[in-house]
Amino acid sequence: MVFSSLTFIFAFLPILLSGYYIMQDIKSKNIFLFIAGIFFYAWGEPACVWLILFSIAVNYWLGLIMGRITSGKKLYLAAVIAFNLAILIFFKYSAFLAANINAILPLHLPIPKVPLPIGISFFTFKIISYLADIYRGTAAAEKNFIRFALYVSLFSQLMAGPIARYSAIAPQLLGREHSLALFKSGIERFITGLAKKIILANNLALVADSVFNIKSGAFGTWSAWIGIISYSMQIYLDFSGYSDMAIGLGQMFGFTVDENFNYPYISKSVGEFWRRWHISLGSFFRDYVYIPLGGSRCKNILKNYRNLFIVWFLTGLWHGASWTFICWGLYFGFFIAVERVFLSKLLAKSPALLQHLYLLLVTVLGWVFFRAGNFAESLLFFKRLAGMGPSRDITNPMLLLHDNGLLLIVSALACTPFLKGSAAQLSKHRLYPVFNSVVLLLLYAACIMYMSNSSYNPFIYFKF
Amino acid sequence: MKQKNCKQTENLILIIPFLCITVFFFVLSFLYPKYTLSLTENRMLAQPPVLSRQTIASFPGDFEKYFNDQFPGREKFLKLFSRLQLVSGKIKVRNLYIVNGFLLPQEYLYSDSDLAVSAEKTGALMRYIASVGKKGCYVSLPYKTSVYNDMLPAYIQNNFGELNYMNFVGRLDPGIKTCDAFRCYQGRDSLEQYFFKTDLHWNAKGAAVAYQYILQWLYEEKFIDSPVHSTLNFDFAYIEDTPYMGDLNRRFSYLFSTHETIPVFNSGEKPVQYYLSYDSDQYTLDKDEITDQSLNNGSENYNSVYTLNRGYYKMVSRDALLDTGVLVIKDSMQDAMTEMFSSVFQTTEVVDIRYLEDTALSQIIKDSEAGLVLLMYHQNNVTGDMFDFGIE
Repeated sequence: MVFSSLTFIFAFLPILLSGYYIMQDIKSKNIFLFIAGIFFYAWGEPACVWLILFSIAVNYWLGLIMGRITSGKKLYLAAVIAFNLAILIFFKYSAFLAANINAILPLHLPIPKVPLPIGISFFTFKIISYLADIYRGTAAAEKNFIRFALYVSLFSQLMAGPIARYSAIAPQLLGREHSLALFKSGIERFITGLAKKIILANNLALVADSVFNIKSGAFGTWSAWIGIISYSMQIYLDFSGYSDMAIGLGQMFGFTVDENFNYPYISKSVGEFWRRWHISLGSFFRDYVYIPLGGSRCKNILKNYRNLFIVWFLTGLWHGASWTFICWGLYFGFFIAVERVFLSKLLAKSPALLQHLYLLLVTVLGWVFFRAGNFAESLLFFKRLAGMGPSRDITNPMLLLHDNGLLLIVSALACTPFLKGSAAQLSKHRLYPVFNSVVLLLLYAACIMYMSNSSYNPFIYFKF
Repeated sequence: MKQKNCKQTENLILIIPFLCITVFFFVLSFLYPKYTLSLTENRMLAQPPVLSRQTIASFPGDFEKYFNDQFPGREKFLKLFSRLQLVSGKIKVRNLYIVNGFLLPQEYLYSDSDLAVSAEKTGALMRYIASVGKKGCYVSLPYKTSVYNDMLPAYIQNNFGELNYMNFVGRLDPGIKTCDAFRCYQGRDSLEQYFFKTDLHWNAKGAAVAYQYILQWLYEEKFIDSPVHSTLNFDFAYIEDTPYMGDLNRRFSYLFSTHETIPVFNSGEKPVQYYLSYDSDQYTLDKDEITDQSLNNGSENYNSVYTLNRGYYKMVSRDALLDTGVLVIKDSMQDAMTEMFSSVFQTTEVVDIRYLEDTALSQIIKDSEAGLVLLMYHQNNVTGDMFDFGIE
């Protein structure tokens, strides 16, 4: 069950809100939210609910031990992280590993068919950050099982993050503010995220898919560019929209978490882009991988770049068990390295427009690895982008532009702070609260219409 | 204090309507009547799933399907969505091109491998027809989007129907005779009169032009002995003041006008007997049984005006122009030609393999008294299930 579904909004959410606000004290509210989170997880992945419960129970216990021991703490941390990573690797990467081992060695390992539990990358990283924070002393081991369980299983962050740090959430688990202002802010964020996802991202997906799904490569340069630009906006609006919904839902239940996106496409360098894109993941890798490896302060300059590429290798791998994702991660690592060596200085002297164009070109091209199914498809797509046309073009780029021109323009604006800035300008007006509410409620109504239409599935024996 | 109250009011301006809308649909989803059929989508809607030990894994997914399908006001939301898409000026909506009030299905280019499979199956069918001592040929009928290709903006005129057909025919055994009946409108004016605007299908006038073309071709290729195409008189009656419920209009919740010209082939008073079974005269049919009688609101559709898709039926016409029989393996385009066939051939057997239940196609062909078998599909129907003849 995703947030952008009729079932979530009109069946799960009303029950959740009513139940939550009926509960009087924070302890009852936490228990209720924990049960809701597990139900939410079980709904999406009934067969794997035991895994998250097992993970919560074991890591609660491991955390308590971590808080108590005084010697051998580092070794213990390594062991508990290895334990959690082993679970993640088993479920997410075992088939990938077996396939790669088989490619190198004549072992003929069977390729395991393990179901991928929803959100495993997110809750595993939350747990690792918790254990690492206890080790560092920046957080105390949580003695209350429900509070720890709720941190891991908070439904709003369970499926797609943000990867909220325990230290940021811990005070809110003890007590949190419930105010009309926060609740309203939550609704605003939720509707905004829903609209980004349902109205913009889902329709951009249709445009992108109409090009990327042509596996034969029978599409031309114009279509390739329309496809990859649509996909670039789709992935941002989809993911940031989902983060908006998660943040908004959290606020409705009194939780506040840090932003996960900050208009990454307005960046002027790849480094800046990654400080604005999936911020919670970027900061996780910075704090728990890059800096512990020595970051950029190693005396040996090669080690600095080794650290950088380890992080980007892992960033790519985290996104999916495939070499195309790893390549995508290393691709960004390469540009960040190049920026460090000389490019950032060069860019700083260039006009801002040129810097933006550089960033957009690098990121948009990078998404080819992310979206294409394999390297052969990526290569084919790059050829099309470069103007190496097919013998037959079965797409209609003019039709794509004609029918989706407005969508592309609005989406492009939604990728920038323009709309938010315009709202800020209008907010000085006396009637702004009314205007703001009307616009948001209209967007909500439009989302309901789009969601209803998403199940439109005509039975067409189209061959007749 | 006053400022604080003002702030609270500003908050409530959004909170109250949001909660009202959310709770309203939540409550309504329990109270709203549950439907079994979606008229717009022509499909059965999901019903409440049963939770049991066996269904526990599939229950969430089934419940979401049910909740979506039965969402209060869903049909109205679908209609509103269609209306907004049309107002936005898009050319392609719900996989249909909309031009000059005509709804044209989007064409897809089929893969060479798929076309090779259907060509091979067609070859096997034709070999079987020959093996049981009958003549067979392939007849390709016009496809709406190809016919009205010129209506589309130049950048959409991809002619996939033509390409698919050429790729398919190019893979057929050279010995198979093919009638390109989709070319029947070449050189003719007023093409708009041949197809319903809001339906995938043609009307009787469009079918008649193709039928005449086919008869001429059959004569020239010596499949029939008499040049009946030159003597056949096409006379049409028109159904007036009756809404026409086009199958493509359905996708838009009938937002397009249902006022269409409905020509019907007037075969005179020639007595035709209809039979359900190919091997017994006992299973006689009333003609109504091969037309759609489900519409009870005074409207018409393609199957009620012409004939319905049935697995098999036979027509016997003692006053026909020819004293021979024909067996037609067809898709729904043929439905508008049914009465034209019974005017010309003494026996016409019509087979739609999608609806065949108990009897194999090979058995029907073998037992048929017809000497001629036509495989008659529209130009773009060159791959898929309709080539699963069950003959290797």
